[in-house]
Amino acid sequence: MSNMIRIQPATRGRITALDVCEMYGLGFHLGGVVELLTAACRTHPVDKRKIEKARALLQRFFADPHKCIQLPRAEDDALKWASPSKIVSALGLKDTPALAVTYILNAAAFQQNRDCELELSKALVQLEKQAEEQAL
Amino acid sequence: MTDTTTADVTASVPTPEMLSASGQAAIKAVLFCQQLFEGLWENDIDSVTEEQLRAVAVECGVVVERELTDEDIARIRAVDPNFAAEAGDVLPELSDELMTFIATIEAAEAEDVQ
Repeated sequence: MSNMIRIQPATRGRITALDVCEMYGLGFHLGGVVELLTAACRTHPVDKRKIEKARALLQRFFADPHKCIQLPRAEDDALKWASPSKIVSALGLKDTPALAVTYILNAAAFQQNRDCELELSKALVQLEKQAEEQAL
Repeated sequence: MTDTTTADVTASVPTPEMLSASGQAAIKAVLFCQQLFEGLWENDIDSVTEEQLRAVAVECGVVVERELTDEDIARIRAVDPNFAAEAGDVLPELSDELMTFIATIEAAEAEDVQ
């Protein structure tokens, strides 16, 4: 959403999921995915239900038939603020959730819609794969 | 209306009057999406019917006077944030919802891993 309220990112090197959503221009769907995956990785073992919920939310993003939902667009200084790998580490993400969030953040950093959509589809593939493994 | 800066937003819980119209619309849209997605999730998101979609939308406070079109249904199914703003009146009483929403954000931020 272009009219999202701007909240100043946290300072002193602390990175939160909310800061990431703001800096990388993630809307409701992708921001929710990052938040759910971050929450899922806080428990041991990882919270499978939250990962499944993140997958369902990402699927909603792709289910938009008229492309009303905007693609993510990172702020100009987002990569300088924190790279995807630094963010994934700071949020405590690991394994498949880490890969999925990396793809989402990469997508937001791309200027071309085609590249952005390709990265997002890779994120969905990762979560689909995780769902299949959980079902076994 | 009070001029709200980014510092104000992080420093205290705002009242609806402190936010611009576009800010309030953004809050409404996010609230709608949160409630809609939870509603879909609770109703088995992959098999939810059109009638259930309509019911969930109404429960989320979206009042659409006209009959929902196929496009509306598709947008509800996709949890489109713009649907709420375009299709009808949403959450006429914002105050409590806004407080809850901001409090949720602050609580989530406080819990985030450093």
